Amino acid sequence: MSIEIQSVSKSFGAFPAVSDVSLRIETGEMVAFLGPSGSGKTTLLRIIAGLEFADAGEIHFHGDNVTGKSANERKAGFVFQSYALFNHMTIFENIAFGLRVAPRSRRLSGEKIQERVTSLLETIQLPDLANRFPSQLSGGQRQRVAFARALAVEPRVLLLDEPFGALDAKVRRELRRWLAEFHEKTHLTSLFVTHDQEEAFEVADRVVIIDKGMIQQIGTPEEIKSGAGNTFVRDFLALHI
Amino acid sequence: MAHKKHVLPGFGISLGWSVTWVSLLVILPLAALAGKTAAGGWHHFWETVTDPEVVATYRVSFGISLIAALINGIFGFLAAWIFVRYEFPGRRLLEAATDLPFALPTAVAGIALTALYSPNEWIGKWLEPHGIKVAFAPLGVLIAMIFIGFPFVVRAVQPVIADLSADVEEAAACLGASRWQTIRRVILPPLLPAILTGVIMSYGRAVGEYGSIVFISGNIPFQTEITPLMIVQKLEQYDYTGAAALGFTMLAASLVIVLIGNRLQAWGNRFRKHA
Amino acid sequence: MASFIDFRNPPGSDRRADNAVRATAEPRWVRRTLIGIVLGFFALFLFLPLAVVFQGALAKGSGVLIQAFTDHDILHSVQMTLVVALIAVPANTAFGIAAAWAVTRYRFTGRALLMALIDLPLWVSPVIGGLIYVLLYGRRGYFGPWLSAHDIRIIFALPGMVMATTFVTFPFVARSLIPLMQAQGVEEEEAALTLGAGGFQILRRITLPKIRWGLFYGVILCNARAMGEFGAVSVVSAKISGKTNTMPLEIERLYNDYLFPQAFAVAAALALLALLTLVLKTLTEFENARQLEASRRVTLETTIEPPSAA
Repeated sequence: MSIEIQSVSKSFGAFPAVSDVSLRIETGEMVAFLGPSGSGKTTLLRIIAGLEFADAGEIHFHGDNVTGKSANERKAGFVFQSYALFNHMTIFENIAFGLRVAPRSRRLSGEKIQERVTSLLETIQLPDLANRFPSQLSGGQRQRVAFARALAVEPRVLLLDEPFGALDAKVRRELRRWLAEFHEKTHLTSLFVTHDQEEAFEVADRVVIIDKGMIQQIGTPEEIKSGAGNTFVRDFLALHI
Repeated sequence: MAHKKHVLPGFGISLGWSVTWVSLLVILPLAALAGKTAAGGWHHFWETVTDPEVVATYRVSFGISLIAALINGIFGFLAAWIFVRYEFPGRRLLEAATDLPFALPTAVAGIALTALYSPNEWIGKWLEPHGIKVAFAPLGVLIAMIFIGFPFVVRAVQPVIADLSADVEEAAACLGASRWQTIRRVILPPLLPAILTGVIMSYGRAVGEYGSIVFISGNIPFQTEITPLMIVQKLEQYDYTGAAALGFTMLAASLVIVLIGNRLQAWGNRFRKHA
Repeated sequence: MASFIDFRNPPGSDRRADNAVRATAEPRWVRRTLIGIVLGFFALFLFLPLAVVFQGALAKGSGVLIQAFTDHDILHSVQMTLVVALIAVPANTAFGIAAAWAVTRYRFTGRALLMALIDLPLWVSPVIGGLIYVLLYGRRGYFGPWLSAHDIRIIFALPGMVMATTFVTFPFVARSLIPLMQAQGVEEEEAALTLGAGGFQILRRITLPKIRWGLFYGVILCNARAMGEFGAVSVVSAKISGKTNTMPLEIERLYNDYLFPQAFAVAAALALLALLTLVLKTLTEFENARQLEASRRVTLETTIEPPSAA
């Protein structure tokens, strides 16, 4: 599914978090929002998910104007930076949550839910942890549960906020590869926010560099690495090389 | 303000319900209080609040309360200090018992304290021969006010003591300060606002207290009558405007006390680390 | 590292260090004296009054106790207390959840005012809590003439007692929930939202389980105050034994009639309720602290930015 962002702006009080951003993401693309903290990239992602409402501008999902729709109507799969797992529920119930709260007319039967969750647990390679609670899992395991929970409702788009931000370097590389492979297989339109350019360049088809609430450059990793772009982009990239 | 959409659902219903509830339970009745006060006229208001018997109650409700609050300041601080710093058998029991005055109905506390300090009873019979009269005397009012105000100081001070980091004390010790100097110069200054906040809250509670005092005080005019009792008496005589005048005065006084408490708390927080 | 020193076990409490004078702990005799003073204070002001209540109730033997709790008027006061609490507590619980949700989930004009009004009953005299309803609904109150014309009794009857009790108890649930919900944040609710959950599903499946201990805490405090309230209720009750007396008012009646054993019997029942409240409150505080600690640990682990952060 494609996502179209049209002249979106959002400010918190006097602080402009996102200023007049327009962007089109094609079906099946994996796009990274890259920028320093406070650049507005997470706000933009949350606006797409419906977790913030823009002051101006429109969001279209595959031609549908979803600007006024709430997050539970948009049902974008959202993976939170700190995972936001439901600590009082087992891993199984966490993943099943979205299926259980679906409207009665579309709700799956108990067996179907069991089936779906079990297969997701296998996809994330944690088949034996169904009855554990989030507090009993490691950071990397929690991260994968958060993925599975978002995927359970078969979202049309996957939005990830700093998906690997809280993990150590080794687990990060593993999960990054896993995400890339997952995207290779499913071609689910995906957007992720990161401040780590290595991550952005390795996983994404296209990278959007954001600073001060504005898009500074858009391009494939190769295009951006080739050194084009404004002063901010050059400084930002130089910091990390 | 323009209509703004909120992300999490339930804004209308939760705020609507809260505002309706608060309006019916607080705003409307308080408006009635203000209205009835005004209806009596300025002259009547002044006559009511300066009536000699009423003025005598201020001495009790505002004066004895202050003494009780200061006594609570000392013992509340000590209790909070030993709860945080010392390990001794029964500490948890004492900590839990601190809130007894919050949990025990005031009427129960009232008759219990009266029974304890009446001339022929448990403690009263030991004090009587020495000419110390507690029940049905100002001292009894003081005891009841200490009882109901005690938890406030402990609850205000305890978390602040727990927050003090040991390294400043160690630093002071390394710089050659004695334990007493450390307590006086390093530990007490950041605790003082919390102690004062607790004292003010305990004062505010004692000023408005009714149930636990009316039993032990004996309600002797010009001696142990409290201001809330005056309100009750005016209502019993269907003197609504008089009762409203006194209620309004007490409300204003309590508001001042609360505002001072809030100020103190804000002032105290400036020492505390921001989490 | 200094910050890991456990204050519960200060260096001075270590037996080996007992005789050494430590720079960061008081000498042993000082500690002993302070503990002694505080114990004395507690005994005199908290434990003795409690003991007097039970002694007074049991002094004349179980016969009086049985007689007291089979007495029609006393039983009626128990029933009144239960009825008042059964209306006031659920109403204030619902209000508390709604108010805490509104105040912690949204920013809106008048939010600070709403919070101040929620606190108000905590600092005004309970007598004022009765007075204001008399001024509205009493015989010479604003709605008095209309009410008597329609033969509706609020003051000196159950509705007024429920109102006064609701007034003095309505901060408790909201006040226990607001700091808790503020600390827990909204991420789990947002996650549920992106998974398609609606408002009531989020409340029932996410928020209520998360706040259940804080809610329980608020409810038991609210209930203790509702069942024990004296000042506010005494103003709006006709104080007719067997009709409009709650247990605290019945204690006053019995006491003024010199029926001390009966008065203390009712008082002992309320004191037991107070003790039960304290036990539940303490257990809940442990549980609350444990959960808050756990959730803080999880967020700490997961929000530490890696060193490469720009």
